[in-house]
Parts: sequence; C-alpha cells; structure tokens
Amino acid sequence: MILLWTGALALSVLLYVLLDGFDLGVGILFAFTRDEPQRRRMLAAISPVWDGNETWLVLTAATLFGAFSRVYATLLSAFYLPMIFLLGALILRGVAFEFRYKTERLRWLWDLCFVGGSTLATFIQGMTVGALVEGLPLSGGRYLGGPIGWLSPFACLCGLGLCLGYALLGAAWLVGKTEGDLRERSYRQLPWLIAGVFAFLAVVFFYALAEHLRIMHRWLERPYLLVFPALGAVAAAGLVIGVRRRKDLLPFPTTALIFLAAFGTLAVSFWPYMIPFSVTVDQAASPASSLDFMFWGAGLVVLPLILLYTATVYRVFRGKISGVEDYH
Amino acid sequence: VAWVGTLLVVLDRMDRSRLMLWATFLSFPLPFVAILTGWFTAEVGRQPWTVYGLLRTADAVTPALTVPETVASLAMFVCVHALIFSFGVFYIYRLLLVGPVDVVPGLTPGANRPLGLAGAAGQPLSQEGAP
Repeated sequence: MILLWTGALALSVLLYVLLDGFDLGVGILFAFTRDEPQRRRMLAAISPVWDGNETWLVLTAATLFGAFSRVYATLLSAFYLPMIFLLGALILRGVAFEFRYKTERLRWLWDLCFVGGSTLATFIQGMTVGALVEGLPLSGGRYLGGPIGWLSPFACLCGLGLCLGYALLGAAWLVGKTEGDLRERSYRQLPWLIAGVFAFLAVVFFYALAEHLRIMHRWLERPYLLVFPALGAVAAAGLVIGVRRRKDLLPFPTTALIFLAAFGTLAVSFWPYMIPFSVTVDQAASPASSLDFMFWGAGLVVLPLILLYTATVYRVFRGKISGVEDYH
Repeated sequence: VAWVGTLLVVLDRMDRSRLMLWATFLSFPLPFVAILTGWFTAEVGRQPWTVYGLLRTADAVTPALTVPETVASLAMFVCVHALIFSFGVFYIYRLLLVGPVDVVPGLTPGANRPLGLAGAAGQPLSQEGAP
C-alpha cells in the first residue's frame, strides 16, 4: 500500500510538472511578444487546460497530506513563505485569463500578473526542488532552518533552471498547437531554450561534483542508474531533430521525455528517502489504516476520475487552434 | 424567499410579482452573511480545540513558524484579495450596466466551442440573464 501511494504521488507530481509546466512556460514566453493577436493565440492554446493542469498540484498536496503527513508537515513548515507566495502567484495568473479581456486600459496590469505570476510560481517550484536536493536543516523530522533557511545560491539556480525548462515546454507546446507567425517564433525560441536548459544542467552537474553533494555518491555506487540521463539524451536528440526539420508534433513529446528523465533521475537519487537523507518513504507513510481507508475513496475513485477527465479534455481540444479566436 | 420564488417560477408568475422580484434582488447579501457567520461559529466555537477533544490549538501550531512569516502571508492574501475582489466587483458592475443581451453573439453551433452551449444557440437569454 505504501508503494501504491508513493506511485500515486510520483504520478501526480510528474503530471503536474509536465502539464502545468507547459502552461506556466507559455506564461513566461508571453513576456516576449507585444503582439496582441499572438498573445491571444498563446492564451487560447492553454486556456482549455490550464486549470485542469493545476488539479494535479492539489492532488499532490492532498496525497502528501493523507498518505505522507509527516512530509507534508515538514515541507510546508520549511517552505512556508515560498508556498504562500506560490499560491499568490497562481491566483494572480489565474484571474488574469479572465480579467485581461474585461479591460483595454488596464490590460497591462493583468498581463503583468500573468507573466509575473507564471514566472514566480515556476521559480519557486524550481527553488524548492533545489533546496531539497541540497538538503534541508532538519532534526528528528522538525525543520530548524528559520524562515529562509532554504535560500541558497544553488536553490536560486534551480529556480532559474526550471524557468528555462518550463519555457522550453511552453515553446514546444505552442509549436504543436499554433500556426503562422507564432509557430515560427516559437521555433526560433526553441534552440535558445534548449541551449539554456543544457547549460543549466551542466552547471548543476559540476556544482554537485564540486560541492560533493551526497546525492552524487548514489550515482557513483550504482552506475546502472545512468539509464535515466541516457533516456534524456536520446529525447534531447529527438527534440533537436524535431526543431531542425520543423516536425510540429515532435518537440513537445520529446521535451516531456526529457522532463520524465530528469524526474526519474531525481526520484532514484532520493530513493528510499522522501526528504533526502532524513525521512524515508517508509517513515513518512501514514498508518496502514489511513492508507487503506484512502485507497477506497481517493485511490479507487478520485484518481482514475481525474486521469479520465484530463485525458478527455486533451482529446476534445486536440489539434491546432485556428484563427484569432476569443477565449470563452 | 427562495421557496416562494421557486413556487412562482413553477407557476410561471415570477416576472409579474413585483414584490418577489424586489425581495430576490435585496436578498443578494444573504448567502455571504450565512457563509461567514457559519464559518465564524465553527472556528470560534471549537476553541481551544483544533480537533475537538483531541488536539489543542496551542499544540497544533507549527513549531518553526514565526510571527513575521504569518504577518507576511496574511498581508499578501489581503493584498491579492483586495485587488481581485475590487476589480471583480467593478467588472460585474459594468456587466450589469450593459444589461442582459438578447442573443449571445457568436454562439452558433460548430464555431469551435464546447458542445455544451450549442443547444442554447439563438435562444433569447433575457429571462435568465436578468440580475
């Protein structure tokens, strides 16, 4: 049962990163065009799905709360301020979808909320992962680092890296979803974003080597784990080919595969810990009775239902968006 | 008001009853009052317990949390809410000024819209659209 809930948690986190990743990425790229028709089409490309994508964040939090309450308590205490500001950023970018069409004079305000909210939310998510990789000051399951104990150059670097990564996902999504000048523009942005993401990965790698992060030992002990980075490399090759040959449907799946590889890399780096090097998955799990109880409701009904409607909405809104349409 | 209103709608006399229309209009704050007072009753009434009889509020507070953090988060939520709520009310007010539209433009089947709305195409919405 612990394994099942760990799997459910991993699935929610992965789907959240992939799905909300691209719409947050489109939010970041939104800043790089002033052209109103292009902006409208960028919004139209994500408007049917963005709020559904954020369901996976809710599900992640709910799974942590129910099945891994120790991790929930520790992480949300440690990241109190970042999580509050993450929520604020998501609220502001969410209303921007609706409010920007209600006004002409103040549209800049909501566009600012959209870009700022998307960027801040992405940065905070990346920073959180960075801080986890580096290790939090914990003792006996209690966080001892103070309000900004997670703040470090490495965490900020990871925040920036995730902004690049989500922008890459966003551009790849736009290439598959749009036509004309917006598609061309996204194709021109892709090589820069690819270069940026790989530069970031290289810096992280050398930083980890230089600082002797504990995570690195795991890789030296078990070289067969390199299958995940290898998968990422293959996906990256596919992505480059897709961009070169202008195959619209190739960039997004390959970018998603890169993210999957990165996620797998992190997961096997952490395993069996949930909060690296202090709380293992087994220690973090709620009592068996809670896990069993949750299985019959959340596990058997809610999770498949969300999966089903997520699949349905992507099926309904598949294909390219046409013309300059208003959202609604 | 809701029960009488429902009865009148079923009898198809709602739009002729001036008193009921005013009563409906004036009762718009009631749901807010109900939700807020209910919330206060629940939150204040269970003190000093977080989980009644099991966990005291004083024991439930995050140990690492500081006052400035709490103030910062509250301030952020107040700002975000003030911004969104004031603009939301303003945009709703402007919608009301425009008044109900007889036919929603562009609401024709097959115009790249979700199917759910297609059935309502071409029908006057003035009945439901009235404030």
